[in-house]
Amino acid sequence: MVRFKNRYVLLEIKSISKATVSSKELADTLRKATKKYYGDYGLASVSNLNVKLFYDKHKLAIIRVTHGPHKFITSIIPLLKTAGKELATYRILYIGATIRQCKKFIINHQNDVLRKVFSQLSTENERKNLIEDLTKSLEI
Amino acid sequence: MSDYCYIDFSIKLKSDQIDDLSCVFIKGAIIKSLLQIFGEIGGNTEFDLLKFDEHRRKGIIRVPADFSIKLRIALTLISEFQGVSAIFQVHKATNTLPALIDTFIEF
Repeated sequence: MVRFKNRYVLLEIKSISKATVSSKELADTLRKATKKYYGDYGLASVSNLNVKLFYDKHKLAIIRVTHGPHKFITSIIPLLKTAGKELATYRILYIGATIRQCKKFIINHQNDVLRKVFSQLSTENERKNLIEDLTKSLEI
Repeated sequence: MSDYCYIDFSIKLKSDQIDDLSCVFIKGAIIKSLLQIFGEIGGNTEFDLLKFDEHRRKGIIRVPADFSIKLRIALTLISEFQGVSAIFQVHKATNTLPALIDTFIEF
């Protein structure tokens, strides 16, 4: 019996406006782009595309795709320009075999971001608030 | 071995209402099918309609060998030509052009 493999793609969405994007809108955007660039064949290949987790505050998303056709998705993500109705750019941070590995990467990634932001903050109070916000958002 | 694949095909229409069966429209129908099935990235390639005989409705396509399978899929899945039900039938696919003498030329 052959195991059915998936790949989990960790995305960062960067947009100028603060309008929120739902996970359904994100999945629809990806499906539409796959249909445009890889046609009916590509759309059928990524039929089990699913947004597993979506951290709205940090604009991070984990997407599950079948192993193999995940290359369709990873190749078109840099070409996307919108998230829902807003202008946005996407960045692939990590491609993992399990959600657990993606979550590990998120923690390390957020640590790096935190260090960068920490250096820019001046007061201790501001730093405390930032840590609280981050820890709250990572609790699932 | 050649890098190209030569496909001998014919078009069969349900009715004879179409007067202008030019090679431009045939190539357009194939490109449209390729774009629909494989999209802008997947369906993008160079292929040439080397010859098309309007009376016998037969033609020869030259396509890079790597892309021949995708083109055959696109040909097979064409179901309509200028609003009329139509099918594209592939008679022979080969790596060398002279090998199409059997099917393309009628003695």
